[in-house]
Amino acid sequence: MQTQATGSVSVAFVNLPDGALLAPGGAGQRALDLGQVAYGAVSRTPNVQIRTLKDRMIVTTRFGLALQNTGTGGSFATATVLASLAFPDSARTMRIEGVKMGPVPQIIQPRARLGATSACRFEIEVPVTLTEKDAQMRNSILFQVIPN
Amino acid sequence: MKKLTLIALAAAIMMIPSLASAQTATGTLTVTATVTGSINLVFNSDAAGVPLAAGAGTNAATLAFGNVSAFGAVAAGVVRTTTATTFTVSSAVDVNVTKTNSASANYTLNAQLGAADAVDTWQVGGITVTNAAAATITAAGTYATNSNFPVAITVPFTTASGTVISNTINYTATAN
Repeated sequence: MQTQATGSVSVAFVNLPDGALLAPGGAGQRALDLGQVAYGAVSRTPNVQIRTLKDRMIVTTRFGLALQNTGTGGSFATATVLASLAFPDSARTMRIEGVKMGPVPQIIQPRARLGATSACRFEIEVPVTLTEKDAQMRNSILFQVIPN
Repeated sequence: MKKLTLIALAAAIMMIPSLASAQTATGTLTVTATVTGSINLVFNSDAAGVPLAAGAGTNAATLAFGNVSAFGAVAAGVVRTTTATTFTVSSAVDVNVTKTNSASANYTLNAQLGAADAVDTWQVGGITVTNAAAATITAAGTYATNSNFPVAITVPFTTASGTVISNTINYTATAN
């Protein structure tokens, strides 16, 4: 009788040299504070860029996604990475690797290599019409990693 | 009969192929940011005034009246008035203040002369400006509009011919 082989993967968020600093925390639970952002201004937070368009500004930074094989019994070469927002944000648009985020998981990396760290571009689009009422932004991005 | 059935079942179980399964992983990245409102001020040439010599569309512009006198020719766009002892030259100048990410309804515009001028009188939008303190030009400026606040210089007749008059007017727009 042949036995079943079970493997597992882990996901961790890591700092990149050209990305905003992640707050200390568990490998799979980190926080990213982009600080204060203003249209036409330079961000005071290192490695956060602000690009202005006529009707919006785009705040950009990067973070690292480290995927590893863990456990015994099997290993995978690649995995599909999905991401979603913990709750919808109608005031702003968030994108990871150019993929618009929402409550429904979206594929951001169809075949990410395990055992490697990939750089993810994170963007927030803020319309110029957004006022002080919606100035504070706080959301969580939920990642799912499925080996394939 | 029973023996045969048992053997058949055992054989079937042994033929089940091995399965490789993997557990998925999850992670959470909490993102925070604070959007700060901002306003921007630029100068634009007014069709009725002297075209800005430099910096139109920016927050640092140059307005050149050229040669001015009480009774001689003046450049196009310059409006001149005279009294018994002075003459005043003025030009329309547009100020455009825009806002982003703010619920502010309007703005206050202040102006202050960069250097003291004990001889001439300077005005912006009809309000005398000095270098002593900022003067309020308007307390209810309209955003995203080219608003004309004429710049005027009153020169006494006693000023010698060939005198160069030059100064800086610092404008400050504050969201209300």
